[in-house]
Amino acid sequence: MKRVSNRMMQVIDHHRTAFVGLGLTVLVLASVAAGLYSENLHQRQVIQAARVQASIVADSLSGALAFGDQATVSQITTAIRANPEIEALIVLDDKGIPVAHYGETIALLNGRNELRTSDGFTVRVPVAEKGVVLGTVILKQRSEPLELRLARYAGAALLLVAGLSMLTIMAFDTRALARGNRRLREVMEERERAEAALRQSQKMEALGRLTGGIAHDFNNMLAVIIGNLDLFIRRYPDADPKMLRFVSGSQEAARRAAALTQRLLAFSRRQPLDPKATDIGRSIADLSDILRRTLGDAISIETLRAPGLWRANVDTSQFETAVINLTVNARDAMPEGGKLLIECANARLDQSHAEAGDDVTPGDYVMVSVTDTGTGMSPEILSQVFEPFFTTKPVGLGTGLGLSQVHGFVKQSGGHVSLSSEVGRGTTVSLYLPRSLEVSDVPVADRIVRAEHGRRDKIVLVVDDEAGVRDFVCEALTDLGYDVLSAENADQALDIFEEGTRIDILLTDVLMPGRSGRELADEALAHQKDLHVLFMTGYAQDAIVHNGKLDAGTRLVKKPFTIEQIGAELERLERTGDS
Amino acid sequence: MPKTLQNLFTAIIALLLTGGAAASQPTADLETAVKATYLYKFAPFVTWPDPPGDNLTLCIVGADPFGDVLDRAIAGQGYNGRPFRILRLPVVSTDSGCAVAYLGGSGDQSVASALKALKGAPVLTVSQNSQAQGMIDFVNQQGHVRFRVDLAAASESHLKISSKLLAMAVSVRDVSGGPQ
Ligand SMILES: Nc1ncnc2c1ncn2[C@@H]1O[C@H](COP(=O)(O)OP(=O)(O)O)[C@@H](O)[C@H]1O
Repeated sequence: MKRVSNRMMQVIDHHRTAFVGLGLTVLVLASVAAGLYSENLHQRQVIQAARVQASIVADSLSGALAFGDQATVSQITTAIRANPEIEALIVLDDKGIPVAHYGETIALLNGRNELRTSDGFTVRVPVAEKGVVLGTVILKQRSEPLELRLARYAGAALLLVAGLSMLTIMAFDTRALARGNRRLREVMEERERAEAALRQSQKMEALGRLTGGIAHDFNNMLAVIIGNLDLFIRRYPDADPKMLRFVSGSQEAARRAAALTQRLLAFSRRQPLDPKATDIGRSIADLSDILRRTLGDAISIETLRAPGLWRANVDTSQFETAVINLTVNARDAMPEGGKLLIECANARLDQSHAEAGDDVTPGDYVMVSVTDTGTGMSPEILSQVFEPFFTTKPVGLGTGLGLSQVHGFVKQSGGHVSLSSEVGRGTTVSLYLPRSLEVSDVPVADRIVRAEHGRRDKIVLVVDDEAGVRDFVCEALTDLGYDVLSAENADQALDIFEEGTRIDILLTDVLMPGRSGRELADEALAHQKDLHVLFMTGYAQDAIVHNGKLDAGTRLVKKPFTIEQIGAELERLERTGDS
Repeated sequence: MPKTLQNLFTAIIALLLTGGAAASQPTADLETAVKATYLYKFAPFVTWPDPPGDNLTLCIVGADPFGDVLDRAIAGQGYNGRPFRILRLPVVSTDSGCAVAYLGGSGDQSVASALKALKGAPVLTVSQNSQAQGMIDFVNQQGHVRFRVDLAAASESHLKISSKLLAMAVSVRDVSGGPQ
């Protein structure tokens, strides 16, 4: 029904000009016809009036004319003269001799009984009684003066013009309306697309919040487990080797669990990122050994690097994790073997890309696409793959977190991901990473010289509301040669500063009940200008992190960490503080 | 004054257009001509009780002052499509078939006896300057040929006379008697 009326609207739309033209023509013809009819009617009225007038005159004159009563004849003609519509009148007797007259009419008749002229109508009637002709009356009836008639037609014409313009305006109006409707439809479709994209991103956001919350708690627990196992091995290096094997096995498992929670955090975009200008091509080249091992012999690998490749502003290690995740997926999709292609190229996304996809900001990107010749995915699967824990793989083989990490990382970095897949042919995942505008590479000096054991004369204040974390950190720091103080929260820690205790390093959790680590650090620095501050967090959505990126000059250690990691951070802190 | 039709018409025009002011006394010929036309012109203002047959008969009883002037005047004319016919009689009676009878009077039958003969019959009687007057009686008034109407006599004969004719009469003797 709706379609039918739409169709009709289209037909009308299409032939609108013809309809309007037809309408105008009909209107004009009708007006002309009405004008002619009115003119004709007027003429007939004039003729009728002339005949009647002449008959009346003839009738009233008959006696006077028959018996030569000139006075009466004159009297009657004079009376007729008062009628302005009668322009001329002549009375002839039975011999055709004029008896009375005014105006000029006879010449006009020329022997005819009636004569129509533009200005009126002349009629000749016999004066007769019972068939006896007693004379003749010739009378000219004026038609309405031209200007009066024109004025009347001008009125009609005005109406016509008004009607025409109304019709025209209506026609244009409906055309504008149709245009407006079309535009409205477009806008509505655009909005629907945008809403769908928003719903999708809100869904991802909600999932992220959920997984992020769980991952955070998990992370803290893992920090305790890893830390304690670490401590055990350090404290009891001479323990039963069998026991040490168990412990290191547990350590390994805990580390894998930690890696998993990192992915969860990555998906929830709470992974603290440290974006740097990264040469994507080189990163991939560096990864090639790992990738080859991951893929096995049945799958060949090809990498294409476009010349003049821009650098991307990403966290290198997260990027590498993403590439490994994509490679693992590609391998799993090609159990019979196949080919993996990794391409890097510059990509400039404009407004049209921005409108087509979900929240894409136009601009320069470095594109990395990973293409396999595997099984591919159906559209239903394709629409869910970014969701955490979505997997089609058997239990134990898939976690459903690989693409979640990829998606979270790319989004958090300010880029976007596009997927295309065809069942039986393969899949391409393209990452668009924001182009770095930095001029030169920041020299990476990640390898830290392990500090020697022994006293250092440095006091570290450890603040964490989790007793497990606090205890592990304290133990680890004393092992590294630091003197350690501890506090459960910011208030306790500030009491220590207020007592006048000199603290070299403040090592604090960020998210705590009461004041945050950030607020604590600010107040502590007010007490002691040369204080070094190191934050510990597993949770990036904290006061020290803006948009998931570290503030310049802020030091952060990610939970869970090993003793080596915290030691290296502390040393780096001391070095930057000294320089 | 030449007795030609041409001249007669000219005279009539002159009379009509000038209102007859110049000619205070119509000449005998002119007067007769006018009367001749009046004679048949009375007819259309009169309604007879019975259809008058194929012709409408104008009778000249006794002396005939009109001659062929009358014959020419009625040429081509007719009463409701019935041509006028002229009948010249020495004596008139109800059987003469006259619709209009001009009573000239003669030795054979005086105007009065003619009137008596036609009394009550549907015949429009016309007389002039006579002691005994017909229903219409010609008179001379300020040089114009005029007439009197005896409506009572017409009514007795069941003739209806149009008010248009009455309006032209110098006097009308009504049914109730006496001139109006
Ligand atoms: N390259 C690919 N080819 C075919 N299917 C894929 C590919 N990458 C991902 N998928 C599908 O997406 C699902 C989710 O992938 P992912 O989030 O990485 O978790 P996992 O690999 O642990 O299952 C996979 O189970 C698989 O069905």
